[in-house]
Amino acid sequence: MRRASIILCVALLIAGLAGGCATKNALEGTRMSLDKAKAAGAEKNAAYEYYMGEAYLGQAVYQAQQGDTKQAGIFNKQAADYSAKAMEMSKGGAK
Amino acid sequence: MRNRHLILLVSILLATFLVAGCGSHRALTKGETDQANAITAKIAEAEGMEKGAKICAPKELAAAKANLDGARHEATENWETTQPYFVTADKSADLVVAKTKACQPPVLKYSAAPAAISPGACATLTWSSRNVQKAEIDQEVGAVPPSGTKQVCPTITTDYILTATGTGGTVSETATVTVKAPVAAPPPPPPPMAVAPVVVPVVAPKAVMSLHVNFDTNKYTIRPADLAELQKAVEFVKQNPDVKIQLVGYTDSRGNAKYNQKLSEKRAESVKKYIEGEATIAPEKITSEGKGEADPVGDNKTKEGQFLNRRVELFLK
Repeated sequence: MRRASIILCVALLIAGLAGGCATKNALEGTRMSLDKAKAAGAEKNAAYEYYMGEAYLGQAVYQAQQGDTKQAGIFNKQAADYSAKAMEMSKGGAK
Repeated sequence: MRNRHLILLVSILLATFLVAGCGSHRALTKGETDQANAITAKIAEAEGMEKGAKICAPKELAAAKANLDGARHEATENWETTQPYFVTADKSADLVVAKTKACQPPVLKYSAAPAAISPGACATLTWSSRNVQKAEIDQEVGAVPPSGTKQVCPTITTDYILTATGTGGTVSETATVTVKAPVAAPPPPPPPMAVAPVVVPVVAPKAVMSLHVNFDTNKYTIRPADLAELQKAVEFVKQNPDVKIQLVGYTDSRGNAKYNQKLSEKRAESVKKYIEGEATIAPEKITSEGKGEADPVGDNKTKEGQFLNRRVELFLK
């Protein structure tokens, strides 16, 4: 009984930590993606898409700080999509 | 005892995860829905402008949309007041509208009436504009309000350029006031038919002299006015019995070409008969021909020119 309880606690802790880490990693990935788009000239060539990415990433970070990893993930997905679009639109633009 | 503590700890952890993961959602209140709709309308207004918010204020537009989504989410997640989130989103939307409005290019409507005036008359320039802070008209008119009228009295045809400047750029429009040429005095009447024929030397391969004899329209009879001129030719023939004379008749360009050809031949023949009747000249030394409306010496578009073209020329071979 005692052993089972310990295992359960450890599992829950690991699950909690893993979830948090996944969100953090996703947010960092989007941050890097937006930085790359910016370096490719997205601010000029795909301003709307770039700033939408930035704005939704900001919302995602806020939700993550609030502990709402689910909503953070949703906002982060939107940010990542806009970032990808901005990057694509910037290809061939100002470098 | 230890087991009990462990069970309690696990229960607390489970409860925490359950509350965090399966937190109850709620629908937006009517007030929140109205606020969200008002913010959406502001964003749509900015996006729908001639030069849209995506171009004029992309950063602000993105912030407003994201803030609105954030506010909506908070409203479904929190039972406590979400007013601050909506206030932030609303301020973002206001910023988008303001920045997009300021970015709109000036729009001008500008005209002159009447567009054409007589010398000494005046015209009125009328203009209206949008998104304009400063406007001016050249030609020493100077600064003008964004909308208005101005009377101008140019002495010559003049372009009045209205230049309007706003935060969204500068545009120019031109209104032209045309000053009509003074009404010319009526042209002098065509010279009377009795005008003496004009002797014009014509450079031709074999000619040493030529004589113009004019005819009335559609006629080939010798006019009394031309008798004196023909008499000179008669005298010349008498003094130079050995010269050969060639007479060439012409018409003006009016009428059928075939008819004009015949008429020109008859005119030349009339002169030939006159000379033959006045001077003793062997028939082989005087010839006549017609060239219709060819070789005009005057402008067939004017009465004076047509008169000059109705003629017989005399060449000495």
